[in-house]
Amino acid sequence: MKFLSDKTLEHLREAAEVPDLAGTRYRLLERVARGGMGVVYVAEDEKLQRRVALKVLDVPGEDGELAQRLIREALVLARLEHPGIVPVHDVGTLADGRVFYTMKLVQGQRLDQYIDSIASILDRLRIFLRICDAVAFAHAHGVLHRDLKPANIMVGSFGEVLVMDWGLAKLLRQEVRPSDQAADPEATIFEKPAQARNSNAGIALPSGTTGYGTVMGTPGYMSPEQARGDIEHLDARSDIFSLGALLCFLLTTDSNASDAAVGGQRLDKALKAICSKATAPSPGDRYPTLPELAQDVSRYLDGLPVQAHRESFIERLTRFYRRYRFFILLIGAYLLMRVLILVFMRR
Amino acid sequence: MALDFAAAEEELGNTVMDPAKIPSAESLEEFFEKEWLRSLFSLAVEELRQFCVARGRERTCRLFEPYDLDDHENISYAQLAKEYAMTVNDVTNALAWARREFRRIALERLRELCGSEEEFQREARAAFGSKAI
Repeated sequence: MKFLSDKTLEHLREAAEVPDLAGTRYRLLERVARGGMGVVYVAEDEKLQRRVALKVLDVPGEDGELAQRLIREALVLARLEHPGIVPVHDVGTLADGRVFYTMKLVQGQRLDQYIDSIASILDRLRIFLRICDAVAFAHAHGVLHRDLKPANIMVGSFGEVLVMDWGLAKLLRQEVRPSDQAADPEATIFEKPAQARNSNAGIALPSGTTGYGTVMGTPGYMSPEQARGDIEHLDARSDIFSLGALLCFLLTTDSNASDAAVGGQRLDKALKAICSKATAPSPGDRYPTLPELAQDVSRYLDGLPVQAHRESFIERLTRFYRRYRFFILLIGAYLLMRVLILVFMRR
Repeated sequence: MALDFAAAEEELGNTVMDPAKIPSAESLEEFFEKEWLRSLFSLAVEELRQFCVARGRERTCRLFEPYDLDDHENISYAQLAKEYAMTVNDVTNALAWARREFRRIALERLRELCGSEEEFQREARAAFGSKAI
């Protein structure tokens, strides 16, 4: 038997990892990233002549837990058609037995890398609102992300913000039909379905029943109840916690930013309060729904009082000044001019 | 039988041990994992060789060995194509076939060794899930 050196072992490992795309419409171009379940490659769709991202599992088989999770991720993505959620194109099994799916190839940077180029705190908040928009859409369709963190947010080359990596997503109830949504605008009350079904293909959507005590997520961004493995009681407020942590990251990550507020030293009390409320240890103390968190951030951006913080008279005056600074300065300048004219005329 | 404990203690005391040379539990584990993988891959390579012979694809095996098993860094598909009077495309296809079969065989052997599907999935990820990039 031939002795295999360490170098050969590593080479064989890498060579065998390359997915076998024989019989598919895809041609492998390069490996770009490794996720929790498998590897993401750039591939070319030879029929449509476009580049796609191809996510493939490490291990073969469609029945394993990971395969079920990957299929569920693809099906969840397929039902979430939103500009802030990466669209899935195809799902299937390769000749070597590994499950894969293809999705839109996003050219851009992860938020944790992109943040250095966002100088203004207001721009960071606008990005945050776009993330909230995508996640709120998912919540309205009964899907929890459960792994929201800067590394799972992509900012595209045209400034588009996309929420990625739905591998840990939890399906809480059947998809809400538009008519249901209209009837229930606060559609973040989740019920766990016995088994959801993909209405298009008739494929049973794996319910992804993560058992009690199973801890999945990212420390620092995971809600306390998720960290405890209290899977049964997770609801939208768990994602709200993660978004609160993400907001703190956006507001406190120091960079080359010129804005003095970025870095946390002079962070506005209202913003601090929003972060604190979103990341409260007890779900009951957090924003009950994601739209309410987004609304508070929007109100801050519009110079309005926020729900999370009761402001003092001085703070109210400061906010009033900030909001109407232009008019206040204009009136001030006008009054000053009038005074100067009066003084000049009396002489 | 007389046992000279005092002399033995003295001898032990004079032995200078380099703490760096004491293998940690982690390094032992890594060593074991690597040797286990080496043994699995060696078995798979041997079986692939037999499979190639049975299928009349000895030439594929001869391409696979220098390119994927020997530590030749500078060997190229073009060189192999020239050496075996084949097109580069044929070399590419032959190597892709060999790697696919190698992976299949290795996974089959791994499945036989594992007690459950869960264990197999875990071990397969450890064997074929290369390091994060």
